Amino acid sequence: MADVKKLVSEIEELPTLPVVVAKITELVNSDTTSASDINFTLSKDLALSSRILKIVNSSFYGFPRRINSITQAVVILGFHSIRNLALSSFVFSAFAKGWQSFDNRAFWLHSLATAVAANQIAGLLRVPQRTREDMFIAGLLHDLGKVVMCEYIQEDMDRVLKIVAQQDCLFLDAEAACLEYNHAHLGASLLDSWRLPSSVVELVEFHHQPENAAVESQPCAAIHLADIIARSICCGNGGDNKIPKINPAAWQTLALGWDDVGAVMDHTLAEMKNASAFFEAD
Amino acid sequence: MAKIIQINDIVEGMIAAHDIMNNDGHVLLAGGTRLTPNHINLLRKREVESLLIREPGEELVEIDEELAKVEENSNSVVIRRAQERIQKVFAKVREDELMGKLFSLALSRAAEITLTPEGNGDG
Repeated sequence: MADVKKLVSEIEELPTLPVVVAKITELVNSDTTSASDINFTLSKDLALSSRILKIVNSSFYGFPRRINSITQAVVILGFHSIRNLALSSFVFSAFAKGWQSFDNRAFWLHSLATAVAANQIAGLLRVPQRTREDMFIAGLLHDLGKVVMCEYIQEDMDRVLKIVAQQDCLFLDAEAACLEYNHAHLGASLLDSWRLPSSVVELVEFHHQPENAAVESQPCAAIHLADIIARSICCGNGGDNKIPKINPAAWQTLALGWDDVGAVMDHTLAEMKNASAFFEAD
Repeated sequence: MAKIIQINDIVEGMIAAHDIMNNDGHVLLAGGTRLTPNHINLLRKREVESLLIREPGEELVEIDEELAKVEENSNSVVIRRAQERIQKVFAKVREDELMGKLFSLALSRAAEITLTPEGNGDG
């Protein structure tokens, strides 16, 4: 990832994490953090707090009772979910302008569908809650590198999209044909610069090559499959109209049945009907 | 005068005051339709939140039968489009054993899929 790190450091205008989101990320990474620490930090950013409450109270989460305070939200959802909400809320607003070569909404729909599918697979795999939340945010941000290309390295994006259009191929294959890096490495590098834990960064970095992940092979295989499931049911669009093959080793690692995959599809399609809450929280 | 009624308060026999379109711009339900339970289910399925309803005494146009046809046609067009999109997405990988299985699972869910714009340039 060394070259990509250099690339990320060279893009001067890249958004840095807002202080509050950075602080929450840091708090969540620490073992000694209490709910009131998170609450105290979030209370400094009223806009962010109210966006989080709005999403938490949307039909996407579907809690039976209204959650009125951040303290309640922290207790009910857990630290990682709050971090994820703060981070996704920031990413959506930071990268929400219209893109020249991409349908912004279709892009985030694909990302959200991948997150929802990843969360569902995590449930089937019975991974610990913390891993499950890492998988959700990794699903949501797995294509962050494409956003960076769109907004800051437009000429590279144009080259890739030109090849995608000419050869009707995967975005990833087009990248391999004309670039020294790919979106997975680029996105992982940006998340790393934001000090997201390696357990998240690695899931993003290896979502197309789960076999290369050093640790956490099951979550990584799950993000790989979640991306493919989201494409199979045409949820949004990540820049191409094709679908990569399921990596056979990843499939074996997951040890899921086809009924499980069907259930993940059904759940994802149903959840995506509530997706607007994520996009209209401002 | 027509009145806005929330979907939960809509009951059989009320009359839609305007056309309801689906995402593709097809008319799901034309203005003047007297609503049946099937219509109300369809509206819920399409996540229509509220409807402009004619007040009693307003002129009534009975076109239920034709509407049922329009509805059926527009539904089958939507499903066919989703099937075509899935076929296109899987075009190069269907021979693969795992992908062949995934393809069948996705295809059987075409009716549940809401398509977004495709392709480069728009996605």
